[in-house]
Amino acid sequence: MDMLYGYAGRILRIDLSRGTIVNQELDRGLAEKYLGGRGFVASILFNELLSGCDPLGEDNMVVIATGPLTGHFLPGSGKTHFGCKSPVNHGYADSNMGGHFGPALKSAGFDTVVLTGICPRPSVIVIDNHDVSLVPADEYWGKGTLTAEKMLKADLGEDFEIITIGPAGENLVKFACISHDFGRQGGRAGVGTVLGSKKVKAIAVRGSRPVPVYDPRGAYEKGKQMYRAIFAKPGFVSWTPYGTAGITDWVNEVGAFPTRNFQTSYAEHHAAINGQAVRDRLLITDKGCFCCPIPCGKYGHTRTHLGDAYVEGPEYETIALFGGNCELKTIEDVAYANHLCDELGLDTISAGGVIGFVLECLEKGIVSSQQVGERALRFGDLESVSYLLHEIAYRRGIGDVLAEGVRFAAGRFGQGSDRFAIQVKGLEWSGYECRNAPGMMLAYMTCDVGAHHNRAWALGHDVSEDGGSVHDLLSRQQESLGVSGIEGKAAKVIALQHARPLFDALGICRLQWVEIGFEVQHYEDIFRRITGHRCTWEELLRISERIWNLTRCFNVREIDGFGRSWDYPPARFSEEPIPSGPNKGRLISKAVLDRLLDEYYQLRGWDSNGIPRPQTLKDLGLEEVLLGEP
Amino acid sequence: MQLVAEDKKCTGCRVCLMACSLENSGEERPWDALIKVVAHFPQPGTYEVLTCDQCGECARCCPEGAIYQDGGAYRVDKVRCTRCMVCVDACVKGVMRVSDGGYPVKCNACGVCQEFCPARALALA
Repeated sequence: MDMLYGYAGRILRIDLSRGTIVNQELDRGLAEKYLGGRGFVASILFNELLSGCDPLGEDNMVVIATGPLTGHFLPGSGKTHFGCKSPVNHGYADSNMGGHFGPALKSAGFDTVVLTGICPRPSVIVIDNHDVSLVPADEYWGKGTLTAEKMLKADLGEDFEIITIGPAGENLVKFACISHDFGRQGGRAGVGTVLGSKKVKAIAVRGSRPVPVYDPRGAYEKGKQMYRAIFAKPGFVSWTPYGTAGITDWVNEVGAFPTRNFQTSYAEHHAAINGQAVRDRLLITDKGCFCCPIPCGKYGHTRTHLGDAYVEGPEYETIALFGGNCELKTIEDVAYANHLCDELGLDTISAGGVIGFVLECLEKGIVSSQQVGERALRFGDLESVSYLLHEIAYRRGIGDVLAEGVRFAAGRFGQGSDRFAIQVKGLEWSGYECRNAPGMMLAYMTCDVGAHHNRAWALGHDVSEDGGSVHDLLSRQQESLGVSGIEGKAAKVIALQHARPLFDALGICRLQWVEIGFEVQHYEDIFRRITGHRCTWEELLRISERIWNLTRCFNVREIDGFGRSWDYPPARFSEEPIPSGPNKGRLISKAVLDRLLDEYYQLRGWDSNGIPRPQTLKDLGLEEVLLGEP
Repeated sequence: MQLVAEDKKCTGCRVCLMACSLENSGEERPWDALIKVVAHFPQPGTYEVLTCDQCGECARCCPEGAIYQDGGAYRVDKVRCTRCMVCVDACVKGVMRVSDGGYPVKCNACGVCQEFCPARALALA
């Protein structure tokens, strides 16, 4: 068989219940049809997972996948993708992270790891090239992610790349993350929860095998050309010092900053928690993922009245959810909350969403002070945030309810709290308030894992007809949010939902394109030189569309009653006008939401209930989905 | 010419290691690069970059006189080298390695690493 260039060429399958380890050849058909990363995750989950299985049971899978461009010499090639059946809504869940784990996994000889079963006792998976073993995790279990990673590096060797879960993952908090490299996370959708349910505390990997490249000389020259092109971009100089935190002021100026549990969309104190504050008040070093020329990681040190902390970040999402949504007033407080989440193993986005929600419930008298240990919890108070994070991670008191996420908590608390439980499909909303941003609203509504921004950051198109990179948007005279209305928004969202997740399938970071406007055509060329396959960007986008439809079909199959009703935001966004800030008075009515969804479904070739039509699936080559039809 | 690193600027991205291995071995083997990046995390949260400064210690300790100076860099003469690896053990920075063919390999100050270091943490001086 011809060499599969660009890939390590093997899949590692571990049945944790039995301790069996299988080193299997990567199927060429899988690579050609789904590329890698998110595509492998979606395909393996759809085709191999026992339908209807318990997300926390033996039959759920954790799929860890790199892509064909992961680990090669090109900008941002450090991505790793995680996926499983969601512990929150039983549908599709995935999350990706940067760092160095994926490149190390490929150097060890594996593109993908598939975990099934449950370890009889807490374990660490050690992958040392092709030597794979399960070792007891007794001394690491219960430890924070940063502590456990440091211990594992000391015990195994500094050259191991390590992912860990924290106490939140061990205790099956539904928004537990997977942590790596002292500050990178696969944060969303409960991937850390499912790893915890499998009693896998950590995975350590070390590799020393080069991955075969089709045209080594050509790929090297192209890689060099890509770096030189990025160095020449204006955004390379302007964006890099601040990373994602650099948009904090802009998001406030356009009135999209989640504030006080998304009650409003502008925080008066935003200048105290922006990218400049990170740089001036926290920064020790810029911290880059593998082969990244524009390091968004800002590693720093903070000192608060609760203690000192070393922490990577906070990046924008954490600033939005803790600085805005929980109203922490200083970058030091936000950084400390960030550190607690990292060590406990909590996704900062969901954690900030859950805490904002319960603080509003307390304000409204829906939750009583007796339910929080007679404490006077309030917005803007780091002690309140710290208390709640610990209660959640260890499932103590009200934390046991909050650990299930805002949708579940609203069901428990009742009294109309579901109106302001800010989520879609059970996943807490990330850092953009959308009552005057119809494109971004639709992006959140239709994201396969729930209210996450990364599939389609359509906010730029809500602000400006031209959209463009973040560097472009920040450089321009500001227009007001919602300037371009709802016309054409569904098509924009769909285009973004193919482009952005394509990077996740290729196994590389999208931020070079998103943030500083690096041209996507470069990737056609490097893809050809690394894999030997000539694919246009448009052809690659078609694969991404196939993956998008497959994850939708996974939700249709696994979630009872899945369809249109799962694509709506909470009532706050269509019934309560924004009370203050640049977008005061704005909302998006239910009628407009319906119009957006109708247009979106029609363009996608889905029926009015949001179910992909058979012809759509056939056109995309999704025969495996059609075969499952009665 | 010597390769000088400014630790404070390093972001730990390892582009230098990839460029070094590609330039000198033709393969993506960052673990075999002639530079080392040591990460000190979670505390104090800094990177340490170890580079060859052409100090000449390898040449001084070579029993065969197989390491010679040429154009500002010390190089290994494979004809005279007996692969005893005394030089690798003696390298002050620990940045020499052994090639697949069993010969010692050292930095030849080609400068590719510093050209592609995004943070400008490396320089040929």
